[in-house]
Amino acid sequence: MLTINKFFRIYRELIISVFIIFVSLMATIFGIIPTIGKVIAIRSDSVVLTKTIQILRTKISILESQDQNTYRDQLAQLVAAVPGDKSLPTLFATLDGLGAQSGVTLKDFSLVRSVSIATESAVNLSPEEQKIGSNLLSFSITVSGNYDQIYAFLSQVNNVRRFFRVNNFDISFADTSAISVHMGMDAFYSPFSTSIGAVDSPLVPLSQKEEDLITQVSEMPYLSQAAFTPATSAQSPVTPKADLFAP
Amino acid sequence: MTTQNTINLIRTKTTNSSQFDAIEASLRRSGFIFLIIVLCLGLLLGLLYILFSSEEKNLLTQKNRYVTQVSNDKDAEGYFRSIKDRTRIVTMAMTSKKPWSKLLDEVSAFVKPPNLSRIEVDGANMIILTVNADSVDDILPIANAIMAKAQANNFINPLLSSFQITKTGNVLATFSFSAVF
Repeated sequence: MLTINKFFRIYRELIISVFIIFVSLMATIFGIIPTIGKVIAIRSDSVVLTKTIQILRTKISILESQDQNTYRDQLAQLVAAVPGDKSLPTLFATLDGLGAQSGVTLKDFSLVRSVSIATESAVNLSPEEQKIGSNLLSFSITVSGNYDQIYAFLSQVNNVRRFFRVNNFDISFADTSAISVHMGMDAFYSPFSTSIGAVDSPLVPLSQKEEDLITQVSEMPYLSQAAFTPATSAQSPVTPKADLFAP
Repeated sequence: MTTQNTINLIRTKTTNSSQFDAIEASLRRSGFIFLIIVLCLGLLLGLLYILFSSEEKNLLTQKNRYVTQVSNDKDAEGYFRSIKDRTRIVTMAMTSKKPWSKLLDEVSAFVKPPNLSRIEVDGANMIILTVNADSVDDILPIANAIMAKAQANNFINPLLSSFQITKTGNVLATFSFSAVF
């Protein structure tokens, strides 16, 4: 015991110095280094959070820059041009309207491919459809009229708010007053996306080009509108019964 | 009391050599410097930790507020994303439409019925014109006009697909080309 006391008395300063160094080393290993890691992690999280907040701010400013009804109307204009499904009623109504406007007679409508009963997501897109990024409903139709009427039909078919394209046609000018043209046409449609992405997914505002496009589409005549005007109760010829099984 | 005939290995008198003193002083100095550095660093890191934690907490609160706001606007977001997606599709659809009435205008500039007896357009954008004329001389201006259109890059790859002279001297010619819109 005496020896130990003597040892500590002799080497006291040395022992204290070594102890201080040891404690500092332990504090560095178990305190400083993990804290540096935590501070760096918090800083990185803050940077990510700042970016996310910036994205959310931009998103809110875009979404609140216009009334929700305005967006709904703009979408309705575009959907009238390229609907979410095959929309055969608007197809027929538009063709009918085109016929009436140009003065041609339409007959022999037939679908090139049978209309699939599968949901749109289950339908495989053809290479042409993949290239355009839209589904195509191919059909053929016979258009009859004089040359001016056929010309008017071909002019107007590209400028109506239900998008068609003429793929092929064959005009015989044997009698220019009664031309019968067999046309192969496509009607565009594209199913809606089912997800809108994560809350913090970025939103890019509409470019001037996109806004011009919406304006351009909305200025095109919508020939199937008359066919889809909802009947008011005053116009409706059928009065609903309170009890369906009443005599 | 130690006897003279015993060997004592522990020195009765401790004498610190100057080298030992130097090491001791150096260790003492190093220890204090190390301790001060650790304390300062600890203090600084502690402050930074508190500062950044509070900043992160504020940012999280802010983010949650914005997320709630965006969630409330999810209908508008749905419409907006659909508009963005549909403008892309509409642009592509508009690009893939071909203005055939423009082709009729271009063709009628150099040949009209009754000389023009047929226009055929196939799905691959190949246009076939069937032209009849009273003589070869009447066909030449049409061929020249098609060549001029090809040189002006309005028509691509023009071909005289067939050429037939009937017994009555009438000429039946078929031209094919692809149109550029």
